[in-house]
Amino acid sequence: MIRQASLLAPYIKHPTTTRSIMLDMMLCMAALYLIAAFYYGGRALMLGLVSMLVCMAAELLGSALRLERHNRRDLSALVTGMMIPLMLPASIPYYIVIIADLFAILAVKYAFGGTGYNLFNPAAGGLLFVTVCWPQQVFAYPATFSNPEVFGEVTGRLTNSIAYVLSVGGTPSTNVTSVILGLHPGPMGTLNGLVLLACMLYLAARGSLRLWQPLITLGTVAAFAAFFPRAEYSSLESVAYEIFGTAVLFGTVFMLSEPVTGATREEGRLLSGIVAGLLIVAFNYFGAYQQGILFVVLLMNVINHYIDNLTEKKMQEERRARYAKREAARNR
Amino acid sequence: MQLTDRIFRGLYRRGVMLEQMKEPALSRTVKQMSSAEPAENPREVDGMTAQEIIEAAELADIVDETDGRPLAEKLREAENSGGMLLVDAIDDEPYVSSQMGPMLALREQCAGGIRLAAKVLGTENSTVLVYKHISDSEVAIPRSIDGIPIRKIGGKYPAQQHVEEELETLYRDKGGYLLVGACAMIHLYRAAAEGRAQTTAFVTVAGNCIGFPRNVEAPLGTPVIELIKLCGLIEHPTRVILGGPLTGAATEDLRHEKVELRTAAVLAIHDDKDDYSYSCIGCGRCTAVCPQGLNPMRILQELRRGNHEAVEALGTRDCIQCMCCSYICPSRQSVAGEILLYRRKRKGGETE
Repeated sequence: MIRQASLLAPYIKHPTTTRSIMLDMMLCMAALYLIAAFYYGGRALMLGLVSMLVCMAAELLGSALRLERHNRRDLSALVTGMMIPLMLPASIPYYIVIIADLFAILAVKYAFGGTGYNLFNPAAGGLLFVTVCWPQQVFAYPATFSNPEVFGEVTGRLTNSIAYVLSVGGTPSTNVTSVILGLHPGPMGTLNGLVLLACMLYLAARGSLRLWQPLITLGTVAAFAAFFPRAEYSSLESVAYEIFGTAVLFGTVFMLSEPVTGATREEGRLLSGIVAGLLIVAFNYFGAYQQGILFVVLLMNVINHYIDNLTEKKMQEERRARYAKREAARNR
Repeated sequence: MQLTDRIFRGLYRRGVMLEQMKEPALSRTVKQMSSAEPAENPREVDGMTAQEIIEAAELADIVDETDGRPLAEKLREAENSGGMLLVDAIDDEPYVSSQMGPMLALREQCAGGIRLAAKVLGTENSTVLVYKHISDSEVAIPRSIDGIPIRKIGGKYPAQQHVEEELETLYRDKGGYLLVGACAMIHLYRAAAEGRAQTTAFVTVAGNCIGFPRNVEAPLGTPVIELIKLCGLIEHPTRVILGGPLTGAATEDLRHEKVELRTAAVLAIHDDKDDYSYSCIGCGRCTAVCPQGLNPMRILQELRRGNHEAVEALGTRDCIQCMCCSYICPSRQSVAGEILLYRRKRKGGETE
């Protein structure tokens, strides 16, 4: 049948929209907030709420500054708002979250043109900014079930995370089961490995991410952890500490596989996954900061552009060769 | 000679899986709108020579709906080539069954036409191709019609383009092939047996506003509104589409639209089509579905920047306008539409 394509076609559309993709992300992070609320009480929820409101306000301000109308259906600011506190301790002062939000939306996202035009992951950018400015507050974690005050300064004792213990070459005192269940001090959304894995499966089932992409990254990290433990503990413990004890799992599922700054083609994603895994290992083993994942996310945002270029060139050549072959066959 | 399974499974092909929604039009009989009665006693066609068959096709002005070329011309080119005769009844777009429906409903005529065309080619081998993934079909697709085997084309939409591409390489060394439309075969039989000229086209009238969706054989030039009246409206449609829902064109003024040779379907559709779009978030779904291996989001980006050299370098001329990228886009960007507009402008610029 002859196809007469028209400009307005197609008249049927796939049900997935950008809005539904963002809603999926928000649903997953809502589960993480529930876990965080279970571990740390109301402050975890309050941090998330404040962060979402600030991000939304910053989004409106950003589009106003660019003299653009804000698309009310665009939920990406809320996703950023939910993501930022999840990578921070539950004891974090509110002003640091607000600064991270403002930096993420106004500096990382709107300076480059808003949703879809950002070069870097906004949440990773905002988090890195506050990490560099206030490392003391960002890397001090309240103990699980310590119930920090909902508002104001947290007065309870703050401790170091497993990531810190690993980075100074120590052996964490937490056993493997507790590490996987998140019963250890750390960023409030990155603790429960089982929930994070469930989020990964859900997002993969909804088509938001390709399952093998985070698996390759995690596999690379796990392989290094198994063969080169950072201190005197077994391979199994090492893998559990590196994957579940740090923010690697959260970063891989929610940040590295994010569409805007990720690689486009399958081959590119494969390469990107391996490179990300190697970088995570490098930052964890040799980096100065205990949560190297944020640096890796920003670096990958840059590297992915090169990877995309590479795969695109390769694809062009392949297609050219195919057409040349067919042309030759036709002329024969 | 068997076709390789590669074509039929279509496992590794990119594209989109569509809900076919061909029922109930597919299982209903074809409604005749023309007043032309079939001849009382049709002529015996078995004894016709190849030359007579081509002449009949020429006199009847049969145009093949697969590529829009006169059937006589195609037959003359392939005369005595001994190649494979492939009959296109693929219909891989949703709602549309204007090749498959008549092929099943008028199977004697279709099979008769296929035998005539096979005789011209000097071959025994002929196969009807239909699309495989029609999950809602109420009639079982038979394995053969009057002794002519039916093969099912698997894979995602667009199956048709892929098949045409694969056949090219597959039959090059095996005596070639001829791809003809199923409707053209029906017309060929009528021309040979009854001396009837092609004055009708098979059109699927469907959509969620049509009360009695069915395939209609309508005389060429019938106002489209007549077809819609015939099948009845149950709801006020927001748009009427001529052609399939992916590649068809919405009518601007229904009163002036008439049934043409290439009108495959008339779809009256009511949708609360959301006009809002989002900015591209670069999710790469368009790249994942593009059957030509293009990167539609990148092309769109360069198009909006006005960087036409980059647009060409990205292989835009290989676009087959299957509209998969626009269909899948979660940001509701008219990716394929903009590429099409660019190509039309460019074509216009070249001929000036």
